Amino acid sequence: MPDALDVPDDNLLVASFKDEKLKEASFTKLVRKYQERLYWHVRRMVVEHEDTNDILQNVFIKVWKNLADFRQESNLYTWLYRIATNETLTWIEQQKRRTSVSLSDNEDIFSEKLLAQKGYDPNKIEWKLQQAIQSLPDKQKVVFNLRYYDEMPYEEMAEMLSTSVGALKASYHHAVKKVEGFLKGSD
Amino acid sequence: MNKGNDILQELQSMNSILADIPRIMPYAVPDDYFNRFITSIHEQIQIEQTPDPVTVWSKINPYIAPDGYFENFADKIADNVLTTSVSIAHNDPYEVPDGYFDTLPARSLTAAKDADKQQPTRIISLRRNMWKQVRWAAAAVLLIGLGVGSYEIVEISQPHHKAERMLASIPDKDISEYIQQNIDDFDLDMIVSNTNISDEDIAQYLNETGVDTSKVY
Repeated sequence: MPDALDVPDDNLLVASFKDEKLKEASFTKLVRKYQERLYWHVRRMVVEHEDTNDILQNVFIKVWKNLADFRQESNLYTWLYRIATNETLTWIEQQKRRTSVSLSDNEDIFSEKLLAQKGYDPNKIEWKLQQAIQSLPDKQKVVFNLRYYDEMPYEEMAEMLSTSVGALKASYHHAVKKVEGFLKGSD
Repeated sequence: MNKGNDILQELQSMNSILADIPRIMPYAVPDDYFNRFITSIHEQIQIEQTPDPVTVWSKINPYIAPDGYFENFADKIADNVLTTSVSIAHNDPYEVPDGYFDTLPARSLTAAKDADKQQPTRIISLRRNMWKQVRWAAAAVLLIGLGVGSYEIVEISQPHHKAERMLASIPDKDISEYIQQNIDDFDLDMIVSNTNISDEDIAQYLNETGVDTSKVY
């Protein structure tokens, strides 16, 4: 992660991106600022690094194509998370269609990928937690990850996911209970 | 984003065991991945910005057609069509008298004029004629229907069969004359030999009908 003092202001990044001379430099700064956060946001959903890398590249290519039209009515990072979330959910849907599995079988795909991860240890709580997260429905997984790992305020999450704060709180609460149940059941 | 203790406090307020679990991501990331990521993104963007090769390929045709090829192309095609038509006509196996087609228009015209002189053209009103025929046809259909219906009614009311009634209506004299004229000796012998009628019955029948028995025996 870059030092806080070096982190460029989002408004400045967007403004300089619209200047053709500064476009590439500002884009590079933007990628460096958000790449790790978006990477982990995607990876927690799709587990494998290669899949995450493919999705993340698509996310930033979309950012490159559309940032000039970004009107700054919302936060830049909210806008980036929205693109990353949509790309990830679209990718998951494509995977489901390709593998012809039902929604209930979805967790099995990612659970199997989880078992194949380097350093996987079923006895470690951090791996158990990832297994528990993979047992959640896709959209609930997004809400849980955004709140638990990224600490995103409900208001911003509501703006990003176009839903209400109350619905998100309820969704997160249910997700926490499910994860707890999974962890207790695996003991 | 607020990287404080909000989440932990929230989880503690929910009495969740997640509050005690470290938020460590166990996934491995390739070495130096994030430093190289921006390079790969720029490469991807360059690929995205590269125009489609199809749109920049030259559309100049490298093939050369002979000079003036297209100038007289239509005439050549027309000539070929005519030549083909003539050759097809020569291949016709039927023969036509010499000069037939030369004189055909004049002969046709003369024949048409002669026909006009002999019989003036009569114009028949199709509509009036048609209605007349329709009326007659309708009347005929009605009569046939009534006839058939009446016949069926009469036929059903008669106790005898049609053939029997016809035979009954023939006078005995006519039957006798017919037998004398048409049945020869051979037929009589065959009838006698193939029935169980006694000689006496036959003789009696012949006597009653006035047949000369001396001709039979």
